Amino acid sequence: MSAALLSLVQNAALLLALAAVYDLATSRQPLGGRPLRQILVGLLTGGVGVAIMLAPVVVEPGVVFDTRSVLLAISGAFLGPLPTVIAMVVTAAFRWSQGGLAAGVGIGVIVSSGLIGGLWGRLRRRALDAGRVSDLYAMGVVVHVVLLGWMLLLPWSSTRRVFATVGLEVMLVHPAATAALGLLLSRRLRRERDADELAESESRYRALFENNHVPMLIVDPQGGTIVDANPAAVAFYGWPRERLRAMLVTEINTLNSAEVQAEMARAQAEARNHFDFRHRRADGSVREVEVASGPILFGHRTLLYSIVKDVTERRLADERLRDTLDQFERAQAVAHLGSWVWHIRENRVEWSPQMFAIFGVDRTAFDGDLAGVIARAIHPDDRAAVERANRRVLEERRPTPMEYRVVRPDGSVRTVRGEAGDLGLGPDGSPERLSGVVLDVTEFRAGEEALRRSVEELERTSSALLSVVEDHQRAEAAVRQSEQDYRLLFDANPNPMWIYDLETLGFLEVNHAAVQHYGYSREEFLAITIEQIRPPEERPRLRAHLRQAPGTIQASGPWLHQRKDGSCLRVEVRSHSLTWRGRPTRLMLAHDVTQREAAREALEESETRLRRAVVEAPFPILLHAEDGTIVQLSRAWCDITGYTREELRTVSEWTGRAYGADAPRVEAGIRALFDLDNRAAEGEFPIRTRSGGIRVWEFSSSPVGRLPDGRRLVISMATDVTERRAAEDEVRRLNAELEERVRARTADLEAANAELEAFSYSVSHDLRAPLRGINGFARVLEEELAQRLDVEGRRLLGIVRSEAVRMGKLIDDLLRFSRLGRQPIHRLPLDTRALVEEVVGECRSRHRDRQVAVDMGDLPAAPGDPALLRQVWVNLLDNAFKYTGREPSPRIAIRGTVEAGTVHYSVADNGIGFDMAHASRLFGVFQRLHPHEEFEGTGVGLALVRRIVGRHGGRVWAEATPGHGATFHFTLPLDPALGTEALT
Amino acid sequence: MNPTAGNAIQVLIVEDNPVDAELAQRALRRRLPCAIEWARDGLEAVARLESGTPLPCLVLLDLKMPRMDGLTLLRRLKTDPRTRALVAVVFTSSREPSDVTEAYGAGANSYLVKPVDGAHFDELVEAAGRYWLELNEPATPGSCS
Repeated sequence: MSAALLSLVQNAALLLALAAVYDLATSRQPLGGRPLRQILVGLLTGGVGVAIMLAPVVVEPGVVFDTRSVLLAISGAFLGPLPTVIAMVVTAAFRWSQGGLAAGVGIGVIVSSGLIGGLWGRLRRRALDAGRVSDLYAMGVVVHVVLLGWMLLLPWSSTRRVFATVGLEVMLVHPAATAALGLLLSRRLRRERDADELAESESRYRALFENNHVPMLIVDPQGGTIVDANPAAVAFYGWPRERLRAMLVTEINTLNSAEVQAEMARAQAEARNHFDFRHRRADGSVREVEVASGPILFGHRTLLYSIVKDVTERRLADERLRDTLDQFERAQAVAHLGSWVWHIRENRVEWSPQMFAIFGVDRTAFDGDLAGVIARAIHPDDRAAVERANRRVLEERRPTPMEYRVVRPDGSVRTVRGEAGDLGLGPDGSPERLSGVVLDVTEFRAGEEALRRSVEELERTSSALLSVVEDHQRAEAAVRQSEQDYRLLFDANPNPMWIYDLETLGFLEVNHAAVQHYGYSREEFLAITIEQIRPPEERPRLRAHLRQAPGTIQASGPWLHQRKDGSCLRVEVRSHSLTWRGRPTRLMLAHDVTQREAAREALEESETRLRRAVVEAPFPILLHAEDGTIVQLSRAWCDITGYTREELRTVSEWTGRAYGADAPRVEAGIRALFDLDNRAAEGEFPIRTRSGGIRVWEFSSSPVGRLPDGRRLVISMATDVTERRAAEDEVRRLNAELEERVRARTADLEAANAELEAFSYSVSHDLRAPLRGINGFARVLEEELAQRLDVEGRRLLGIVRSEAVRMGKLIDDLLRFSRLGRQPIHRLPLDTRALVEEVVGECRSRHRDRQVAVDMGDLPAAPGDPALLRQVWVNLLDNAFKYTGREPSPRIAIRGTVEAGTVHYSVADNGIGFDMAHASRLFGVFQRLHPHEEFEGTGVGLALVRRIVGRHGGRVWAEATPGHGATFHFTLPLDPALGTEALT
Repeated sequence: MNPTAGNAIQVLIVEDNPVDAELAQRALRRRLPCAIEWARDGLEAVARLESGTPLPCLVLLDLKMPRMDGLTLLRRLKTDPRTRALVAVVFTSSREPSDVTEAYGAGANSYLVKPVDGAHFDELVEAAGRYWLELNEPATPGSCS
């Protein structure tokens, strides 16, 4: 390998090394961008150029080779014009400063390399960006062929030397170096582009995640940890975000893993893109949710995103709607009643489920084409009549009930009774919609069919009879035979038949069925007239009918007939005039339709009930279409608002009347309802009634599909909450008032307490001070002037001192009493027996000089404040000890019993007792029944007892006889709830 | 006791009521040979303690006083490093539990309720003086010299 080749390779390696260092050093800053940065990049590139120019291959002095052409070409191709020009200026300046023979040519090389690089970059951008090696190599070849071209400008000897020394080497090394550097830089730039795109997509994802109002979770499928949750999820679940991020999905999902698997399988089978789960929230409530989930690439991990949709309300609404529809369908099925709507403009009919049952048509195959229905399903004989009836409804706007036959696809024939109901008119007054019901009456008609057959038979019979009668006159012999035939026909007929005399109306002949049906024997029939088988109120109608009775066969009815036993039956009759045994008579055949009529009445009633249920719902219901037409309105709507159905033909009419100036806004809200896909609670609106009053209605709406003409339909239901709101407001107001009063009262009490506190504090401090002075200086007097005082003087001083001390005690007791009303009670379990034993011991030691027999019975425990109850026992037992002081054999009995949730304690002594007349004063403050000269004490003890027991929720009383002792009773509740602080 | 303490005061009575102050002084003097000084309220007591003269061994202080009350004085005594070691005995007519708690909380060494009975009063003051001045000499003997 030649030395020049080695040097050039070294120079190229230096360039690549510098480029790599440069790449590393700037890896945190993008190379493109603002002009300042571009200038910096240009200067740096120039710096690299200078660095490689410091280690050239010297062909001869002033003629040097290095890889600056590579650097500048790549700079031109990748870094853009500004950095490249700067780098060119820097390297050119350096080359100029190096001087020498080839300085000009060297600068030319710099310029040409940069320019070719720039041009290449512009023309072959895509290939360069892709880092295609062949392209880069080709650029290197072009740049360096031009470089060698520059050498021709040198003196020929130099040119020759150049070609001989480095010509081949340049063409070997430089294009390869160009390709290598180009690869390095294109990769670097691609990295930057990728980073930009990544950052952009990540921020897009972030914004989508953070700002979505639908709760979203990111879940790690390994382990089921929630990796992240958006603010909507935080709001929905009620956990703080940090808490959610630390939770497992299983803490939210109430299903166990087997159920989750099952649901996933179901979702797949039903080709659903969501799962139905039940999620628990922080407050413990469980919501039905639809969770859409899918993988998301998160850095190097694949996580799952979950979009959570709360569908609890929708499910409930769906269920309610289903229930309502079910009821409606069941009602129709029971009544064999189908309902239909004919959309006249489109000539399309819509059927209720029962219609399909009546017509025996498969619901899925039904196309709603009225002409098709008539052609396929209506009996050929009845088609014209049905079409006629439909036309009449439209022309005369008067619905007519009619019966026709339906041929089911299986060939069976049903008889139905059709009745058109409501004719809906369009805004222009033309009929738009006709609705009605179809009632399957086949079973009723079967009975009638039998009748018809009987009648035909009768008619045949009649003709036979006629001929018989005629023949009778001609051939006597034939008569007998015919009469036998007639008898057979007449008697065997299952329907009642009779012949009556047109003049006398008397029965001339009855058949067996008549006897059975009416309860008269044949003989009885022949003795009465046809009037008598009618209830009296029917007879005038009969007579009127007879007056215009036409001659031949005639059908009439239903009539009301009466049996012998007085019961009635409804019949339809066919009659035929007949000359019988020479008299003008009529042959009658009666068909009992009582049951059919009863069924018809029941049906009518059920129909009415159904209509009432829909239209006369006790709350406002509005069914409206998206073009603003009000399709149906419950009566309650009109009743409450005072507007008539005619005034409320469209939604605009309604909003205009009910909302006044607010109408456009409300109407816009109603229009928006059609875009809903589930039930919406719209909230409360004030409604102006016709009389000008304001009612508050709470609306909720849900879409109910489309009308046959494609218009979407919404049902809006309202609840009149005026009274409820008023009551709630009133309750709120009263509550607020009450709270205010309680607050004020509490503040008063607190102020009073504080005042009392301050008062007793100063009493304790200031009231005792003078007493100390009196007593203290009386003592000083006693000690210092002892010699100068006589016995009386000392006695008087003694009284002064003891009175001062007594006053001090009074003050202390009074303070204790007043504090008792304010200090809280600490109710604790208390061993009463131990407490009493202890107090008795103390009393004994205080009255050591006396022998008192204390008899302690059962003492059940009761909860209470230990310190306070001790005071009670001390006071009661001290009193007992004190007031038995004069008794030669003093006795005290202490008892306790449990009575109805309380413990009743008593302390009985055989001391001096007291007069019950004063019992009421006993427990008052400073009330004494005995002079304190005889029994010392301040008169506060029992008052304290009453206050303590009272604050525990108990009761105190006493009974006594003067000279025969006293018994003090008190009770304490066992249930602490009974003895509340409020009982002070 | 240090025999050189002849005219150095050992007890400072802080009391706004002259009657109580005199009774207390009498009770102490009668049986304990000690020097006593009287301050009418907290401020006077502070002035006395900061005057630079030697500190007393025992401060007998009332709680309820004009200008500066006993609790404030007590807190001040017990937070100032110079006077923190002084024995402070609260001598008051208040039995309020809150007063007792607060006084001990502020660093009182004893809390005594003034009895109405003169004999008890004398005994109590004497006992307190004897306990703190003779039996339980304070840990800062320098202040008593």
